[in-house]
Amino acid sequence: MKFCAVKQYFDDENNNNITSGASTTMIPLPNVESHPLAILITYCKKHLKIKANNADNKKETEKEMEQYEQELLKKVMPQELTELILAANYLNFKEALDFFCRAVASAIQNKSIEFVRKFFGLESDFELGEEEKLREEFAWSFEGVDED
Amino acid sequence: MRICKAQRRRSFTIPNELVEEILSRLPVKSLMRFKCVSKAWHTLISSHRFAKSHSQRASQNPNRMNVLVLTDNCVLSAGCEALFQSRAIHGQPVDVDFPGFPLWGEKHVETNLASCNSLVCIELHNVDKWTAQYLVWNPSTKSYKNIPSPTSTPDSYWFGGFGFGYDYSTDDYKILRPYDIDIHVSTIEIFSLKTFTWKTILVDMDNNFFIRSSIQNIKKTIYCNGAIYLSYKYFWKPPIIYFDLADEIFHELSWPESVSYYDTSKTWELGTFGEHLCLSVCTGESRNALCIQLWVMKESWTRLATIPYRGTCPRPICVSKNGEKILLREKQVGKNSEYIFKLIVINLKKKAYRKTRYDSKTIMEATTYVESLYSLDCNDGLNQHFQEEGSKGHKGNQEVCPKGYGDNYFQGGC
Repeated sequence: MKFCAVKQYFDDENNNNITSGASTTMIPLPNVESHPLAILITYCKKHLKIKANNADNKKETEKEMEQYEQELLKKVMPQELTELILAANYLNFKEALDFFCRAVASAIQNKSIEFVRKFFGLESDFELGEEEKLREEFAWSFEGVDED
Repeated sequence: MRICKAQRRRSFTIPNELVEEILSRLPVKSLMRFKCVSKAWHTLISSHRFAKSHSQRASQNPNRMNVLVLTDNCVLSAGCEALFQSRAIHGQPVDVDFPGFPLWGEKHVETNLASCNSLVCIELHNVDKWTAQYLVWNPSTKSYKNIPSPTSTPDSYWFGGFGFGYDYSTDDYKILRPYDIDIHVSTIEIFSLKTFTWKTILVDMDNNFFIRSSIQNIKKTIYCNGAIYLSYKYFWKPPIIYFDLADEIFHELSWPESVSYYDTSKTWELGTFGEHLCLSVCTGESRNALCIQLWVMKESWTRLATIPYRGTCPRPICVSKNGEKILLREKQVGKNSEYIFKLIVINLKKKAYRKTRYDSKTIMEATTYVESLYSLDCNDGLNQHFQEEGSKGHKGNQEVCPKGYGDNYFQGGC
């Protein structure tokens, strides 16, 4: 079971109440919206399906997963990635967390400071002149950055 | 329905540990820039802890491994994987303008490289005066440090050759210079990046002819798994001598047994194959049946391939992600006694090799490094916030600064 948080819930339930039927139990997930949850469920199912199809061939599994991930990223907005990361983290779904973190890293890799601040909802808290000093020190890292 | 949807689109702030998850997957160039995002990000990215976890992740990602090539007039850097995928590779020029440390242009000065993990140690060896200067550099962050001159031992006892490696037991990078003083004991000068001083130790050579011979004839050293291996000029399968940085003792490693050594090339070379030591040797039954053999030391020697080859034994540099290809550097002597360098890619699966053009420049030295945030001014683990003018050195280590060097001795920034 990939959603470790849910698994934990089941394990706890089973310890407390042996007769509870798994199929009728409602698991509360207050921190996850239905939209990202749907995407995570699809991702999980796809992941397990690809793994099953390529039981012995790890390379093929990786290749197919990569292709699926590329397709998925085309349908997801960058802002949604934030929600997906939070959801995957809450559910303790490691593979999805890794994937979406990589996706965000890839999305912001070549972007400007301003873009990143906007994306994460941050503001500059440097004193006057400090930021300029840093920008000068690391001027080389600003080369080739995407236009906003 | 519409109102509900609008309410759902609130912005989510990512908690710090998840920000860290995202940042640890970024390349160094982006991270250095993102230090300017906010004070919190600057602190995080500059921290020793983050640099370590980023580096661990990078070492498992073959796309973060790079090859540094020193030519006769510039230094180039190229991703390892890219080198294996095309015929003529183009590297990015790297700025190596270190004040007081000119890599080219000086008469009688040889420039040598040794790398370990993400750091590169450069040696300027004046073959006329028989002195040497050192500098340690992180090509990813562009931070560097000039190393003070070695202190005690007269240079006349030094035969040339230095090593650079990482000591697991003290989490420290060290530069090694072995000297031969008498037949029983070798003097080793070791520089510790952490304490920023040289120390001299006497190492018992155990009457071992090969240890002495290796120190007197060092061609090149290779760092592998906490030890520095000496590649030295000697024929007929001499034991491989290595210096363990933790126990500070020389050890011997014998050659794979089944190598028959046909003595034409008179050389063997050491390199690394991933995390393992790699030995290349030109061998064969006769002059007409020469080949190159590659061996890897795991629990014991494992032969990788035997490939027909005529030429000087090339030195292994790096291996591809899938383990099928190896990059090597060959150094031949031409008709006019000039050196001819080539980069070679051996395809282990196809058991064939090809010589690769590298920007048509003369390649002198090639070594690998992994991307990392390791900063040479902040290696004491403290967060160095906004450094004051003129004192870019780490405050914690000023008491071990060698006498006679002031604050402006430390150069380079984080």
